[in-house]
Amino acid sequence: MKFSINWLKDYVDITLSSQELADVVSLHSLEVEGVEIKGDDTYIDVALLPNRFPDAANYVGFAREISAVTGGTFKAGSFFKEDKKAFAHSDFSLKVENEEDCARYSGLMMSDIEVKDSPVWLRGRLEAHGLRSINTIVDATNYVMLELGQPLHAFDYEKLEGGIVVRRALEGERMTTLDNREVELTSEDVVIADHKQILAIAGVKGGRAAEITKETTTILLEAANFDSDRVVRTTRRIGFTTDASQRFKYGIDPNMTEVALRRVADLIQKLGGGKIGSFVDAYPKKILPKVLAFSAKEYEKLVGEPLLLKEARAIFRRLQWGIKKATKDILWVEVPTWRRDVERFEDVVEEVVRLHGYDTLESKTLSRVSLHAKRDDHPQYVKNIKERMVGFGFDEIYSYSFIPHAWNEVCDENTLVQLENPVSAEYYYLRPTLIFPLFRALESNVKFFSDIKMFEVGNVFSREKNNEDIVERTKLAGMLTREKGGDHLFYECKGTLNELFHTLGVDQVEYRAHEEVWCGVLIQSRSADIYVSGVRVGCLGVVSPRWLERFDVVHDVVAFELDLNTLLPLTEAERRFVAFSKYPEVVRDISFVVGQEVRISEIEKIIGETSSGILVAIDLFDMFEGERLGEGKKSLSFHLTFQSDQKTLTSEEVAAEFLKIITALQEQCNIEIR
Amino acid sequence: MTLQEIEQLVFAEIIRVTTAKELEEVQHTYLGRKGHLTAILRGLSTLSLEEKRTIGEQANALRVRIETALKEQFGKLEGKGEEKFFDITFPGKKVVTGHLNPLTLILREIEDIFISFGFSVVEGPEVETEFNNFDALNIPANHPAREMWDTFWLKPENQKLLLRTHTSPVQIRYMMTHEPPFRIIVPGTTYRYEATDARHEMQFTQVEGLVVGKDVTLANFKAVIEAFFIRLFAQKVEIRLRPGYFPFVEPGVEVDATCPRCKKKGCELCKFSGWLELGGAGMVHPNVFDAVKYNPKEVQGFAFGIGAERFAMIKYGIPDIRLFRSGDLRFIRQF
Repeated sequence: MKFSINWLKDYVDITLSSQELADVVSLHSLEVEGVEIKGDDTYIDVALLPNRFPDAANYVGFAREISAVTGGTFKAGSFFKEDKKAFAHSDFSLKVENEEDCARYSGLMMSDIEVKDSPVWLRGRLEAHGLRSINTIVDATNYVMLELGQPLHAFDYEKLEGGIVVRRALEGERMTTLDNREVELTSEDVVIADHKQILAIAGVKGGRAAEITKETTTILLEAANFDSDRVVRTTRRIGFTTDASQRFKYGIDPNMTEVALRRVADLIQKLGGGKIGSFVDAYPKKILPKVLAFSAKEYEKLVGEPLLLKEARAIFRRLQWGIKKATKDILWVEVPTWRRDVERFEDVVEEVVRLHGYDTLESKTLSRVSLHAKRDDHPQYVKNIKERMVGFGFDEIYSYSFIPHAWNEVCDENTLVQLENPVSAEYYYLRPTLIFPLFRALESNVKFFSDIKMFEVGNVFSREKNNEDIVERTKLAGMLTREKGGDHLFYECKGTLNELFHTLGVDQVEYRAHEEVWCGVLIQSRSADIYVSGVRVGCLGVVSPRWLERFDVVHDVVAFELDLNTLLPLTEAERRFVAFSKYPEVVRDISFVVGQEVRISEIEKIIGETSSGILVAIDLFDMFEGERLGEGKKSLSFHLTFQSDQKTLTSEEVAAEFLKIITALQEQCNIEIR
Repeated sequence: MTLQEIEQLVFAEIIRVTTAKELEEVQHTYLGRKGHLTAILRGLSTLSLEEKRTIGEQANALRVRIETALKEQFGKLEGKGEEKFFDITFPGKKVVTGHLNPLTLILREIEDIFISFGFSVVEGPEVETEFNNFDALNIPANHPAREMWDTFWLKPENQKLLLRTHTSPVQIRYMMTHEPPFRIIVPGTTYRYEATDARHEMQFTQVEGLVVGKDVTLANFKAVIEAFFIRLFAQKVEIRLRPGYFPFVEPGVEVDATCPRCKKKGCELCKFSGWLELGGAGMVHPNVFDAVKYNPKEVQGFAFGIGAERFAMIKYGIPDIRLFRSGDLRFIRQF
C-alpha cells in the first residue's frame, strides 16, 4: 500500500528523509518496496502481509508503527480516547440476526447536515488512493476508512423504513449497488436491510436505496464488523471486490467501529456542520485487550541474546502497550485489540526483537556436533547415477512436470492426473513418464545439434485405473539421436545401461520382449523390457517413426526409462573382492555362420551350459551379415577365455572343452564353422 | 688409438651428429665390439699390474663419460632425422563427457555445505496433502495467508491434493517420524500457480532447512546462514535479518546478504542497493510443533528456505530462470 508522507505527518512527527524512513521501516517493521516522488509529496510503498494488514494498512496504524520504530511523536492518540461524554442512546431499531455474521454493528445519527462538494485537500487525498470524490458525507466516510482501516457507510436517515436489520439475503433476492450494478444474492450472503428492502451488501457495497443526495439532512453512519470468510465468499460469488471487502478480508478490530464513528462525525462537522445524535450498538461479545506474560529469560532462551527487562519496557512504551503488572523477571503486557496478530508469547518476542534490532543479534554457532549427517539413501543413489550418466556422455536436462492436453489422445485419460487449475492447455496433465517431455527437448535441440544424448531424473505421476490414489515415482529416462544412428544407437544405449547397472552393483540383467506401455512410442520388435534379478525395472527401444513425425525429427531416436524406486532395493552399494586366479588364461576364438534369427542370448546360454567351469568369459567381438554368407545367415565371432583357479590348463584340456562347445552349437543351432 | 686421442675425438663427434643413426655409429666406433675404447679395455690383461690399475681406471672413467654423453645426446635426438613431422599444436582427440544441469550443480554445492555443517539431506513427494502443505504449517483454510501461495490443485477437488508450494511439508513428515534433536535440509521441486517470466517460474526448486532441539536459538540461525553464504559465494559476505512474515514461524525474518557481485557497492544485480534478498526464516511456530505432536515447551527450532535457481543465477550469471527447465543443450553444455 502506498502512503503519502505528507499525510502521514498529520499523525506522526517525521524528521527523517523519505529514503532514511524507508530504510528504518524495512529494517524494523515492514518491507518497503519503493519510494516515489509525486509533485511536492513522496509516497512510500509498503508491503502489507496478512498479519499486519488489520492494524497497519491505514494511515493512523502505519503512523503508529513509524512512531514505534523512529521514536517520532504519535499525534493521533486523541482519536482513541474514550469519550467520557457517552453518546445518547436511542430507540432506533437495530437487529443483528446472527452474531457470527456480524460481531459488531454500530450506528450514529447526525442531523442538520449540509451535503456539499468536498474541499480540494480532501479530494486530492482520496484521488491519490483511487477514490472518486462524491460529496462531503461519502468522502468523509472514505477518508476515515483510509485513516483507520474501518469501512464506513452513510445512509439517508429519512429514506430508512423502520430500523436496521443485519440478516441473510433471501435466495434470489436482488439489489442495485450505488454504481448501478444489478446483483442477485443467495442465503449465504449477509445484507444490511431496513424493514422494506436491502440497503447494502454487508462489508462490500452500499445500494441505491438510502443513497445520500444533495437534499439529505439527516444521516445514519454505519461502522460494523462482518465475518471475513462470509464477506470473501460473497465477493467471489458476485464477482467483484471493493475497498471495504478487502479490509474485511484480513479482519478488523471490532473496537474500531466506535473510534471511527467519532472521528467521521468530527470530520463531517468540520466540513459542513451537523449535530451528533443518538448511537446504536450491537456488540454482544466485547473484545478485551489480551494480557500476555513476557519473561526476559524466556526471550533469551528463544532468541539467543540477553535482554534487560527495562529494555523490554522501553519497547512496549514505544508500541503504546500498557504494562498491567511487573515482577522482577516478568512483565505482563496488555496488547491493544488493534494488534489482532499478537496472540501469544512468541508474537511478543517478535515485537521486542525487531524493535530492539536484529543487527545487534550476535551469531552463535550451534553447540552440538551432529554425527549422523548424510544424504538419505535415495538422494545419494540419484547423485551417483547422475555422475555416471554424465561420464557416459549424457547431458542432464530438467523438464516441466506438465504435458499438453492433446496427450489424452494417446494415453488412457483415466490414468492421467489432472489439475483443477492448469495454467494452459499446454500444461494440462501431470506427466506419467519422462519420455513425453523429453520429446519436447529433442524437438528444440535437433535444430542445433545432430549428436544428442540427454537424460533426466524426475518424478512422474499416474492413477491406477478404478483407484483414486495417485502414484508418484522417480524415473531415470534418456533419449539419444544421431545422424545415421541406426541399430547401433540401440546397442550403444544398451551398453551404457549395462555399465550403469554394473556400477550400481546390479547383476542378472535381462532384456526381454517389450510389453507396450507408452502408447506405441517404441517399435515393439526393436524394444526390450529390462529385468533385474527377475524384476521389471524399465524399458529401452527405438522410437517409432510415427512419433518422430509429430516432433519433426528425422534421424533415428532411441529412448529408455528406468524406475528408480524399483531399482534402488536391487542395488549393492559396495563391492566385495573376488579372488582372481593366479594361473594364466587361454583365449580361443571361434567364428561361425548361423541363422539370422538365432538370438545371441541363446548361443551364450548353450555355450555357458556346455562348458565345465573353466570357461570364464564369452565375448562377442564381431558380427556381420551379407550377400556372401547367403540369405538369412549371419556370421558371429567370439573370444572364449578359459582359465582354472587350480592349475595351468593344458592345451589338450582347452581343446577338449572347445570341441564340446562346437559340437553343442552344431547340434542345437546348426552352426557352420568358418 | 690412445686414450688421449679417443678423448680428443669422441666428444666432438658426439655433439656433431644430427641423427640417432649417426650417433649409433659413433657409439659403435668407440664402444662397439671392435671399438677403439673396447680394444684398450680388452688389452688391459696384457699390461703390468701398475699399468693395469692406472690405465684401467682412466679407461673406465672415460667409458662412463662417453656413455653419459651418448645417453644425453640420444635423448635430444629422439624422433629427429628421418622420422615424420610431429605437430604438437594439432588438436587433441575430443573426449565426450556429458554435462550436469547447473541446477544440479548448485544443489550439490548447497547440500555439501550443509552436510559439512552436520545436516542430513532428506526428500519427499511432490504431490502433497492440504494438511501437510498448509494446515500443519499453521496456514488454515479460509485464512488470507493462504493467498501468499498460489496453488496447483489436483482433481478431484474433494481429495484435497495439491502440488506442494514449498518443501516445508517434508519437514512435517520428518517430524512425524523422528524425534529431535536433528538438522535437516530438504531440497526439492515446488510449484506455484504463477505466470512465468525471466524471474518467475511455475516449477522451481527450493531448499528448506530445519533445526530442532532443546536450545536452538535465532542466534544459532544467524550463525548457520552467515557461514552458508560465505562458503557458497566464497567471499566475506555480511548478512542482515529484518522482519518478515510466514505463518509457520514466529519471529519471522527476511534474510539479505551483501551483493557478491559488487561487494555492496551497488550494481544491476542488487538494483544498486548493495543487498540481495535471499531467503526467509524464523523460529518454528508452536502450532507447527502441536501439529506434529512435539511438546512446544520442550523443543524449539528454526526453519529457513532459499531458492536454488536464484543462487545459480547469481553465481553463474544466468539471466533467465526459464533456462533451467528449457532442456536447451546450448545452455546445459556450458557447465
